[in-house]
Amino acid sequence: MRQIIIILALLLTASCNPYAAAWRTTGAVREAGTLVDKAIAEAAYAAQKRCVSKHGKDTGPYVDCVKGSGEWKALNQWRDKARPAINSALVATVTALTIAEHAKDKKFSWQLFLEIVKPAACGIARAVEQWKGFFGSKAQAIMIGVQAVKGLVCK
Amino acid sequence: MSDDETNVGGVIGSIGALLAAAAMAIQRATAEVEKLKKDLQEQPTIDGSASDKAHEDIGAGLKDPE
Repeated sequence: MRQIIIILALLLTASCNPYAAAWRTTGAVREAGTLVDKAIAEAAYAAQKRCVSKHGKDTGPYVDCVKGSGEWKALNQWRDKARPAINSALVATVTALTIAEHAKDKKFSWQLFLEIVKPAACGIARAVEQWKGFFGSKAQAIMIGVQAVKGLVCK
Repeated sequence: MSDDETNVGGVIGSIGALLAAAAMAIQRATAEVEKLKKDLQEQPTIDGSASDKAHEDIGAGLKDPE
């Protein structure tokens, strides 16, 4: 009987930990971002291959072809703007979660968490929306990670 | 021991086994979250190695065309 009470107490403690869901959600958002990174790299390589087959390598038209491609522009935009912004938001989310979890007040506000994780998750959603033409079927798989953020509304 | 006592013992035993299995599953899930938390705290950002490499590889061929 005592063992059952201990197990029940364990179950109760575990089920009352809302931070677990928040950590999982943050992990899913980071994973979705990593998938975007891979998809954008693959798209850029595909554009390069297309330009090589059309113009040969290391020629002026080849350079113009790559530089003028939407995939190369997307790769640069992703690395220069979108990715750093998403990374900043992810760092802020992880920091806020760590601080909140260590605080004596164990109250957890899912609404507040959504506000903190929103810039990262919506940044990824925007990237997928903007470059879905380059991602093909991968776009849907990436969005599953972002959709893990239940209740999130991106404008 | 009567049949009723045996049945009650069996039911309690089954509940105990179910609870123990659930507790083990929760323990595993908790360990996974702890691992994820540690991983996120050490590396909170996106793994950007794929796009960095693509930029380096493709960019190298864009500098001095023949």
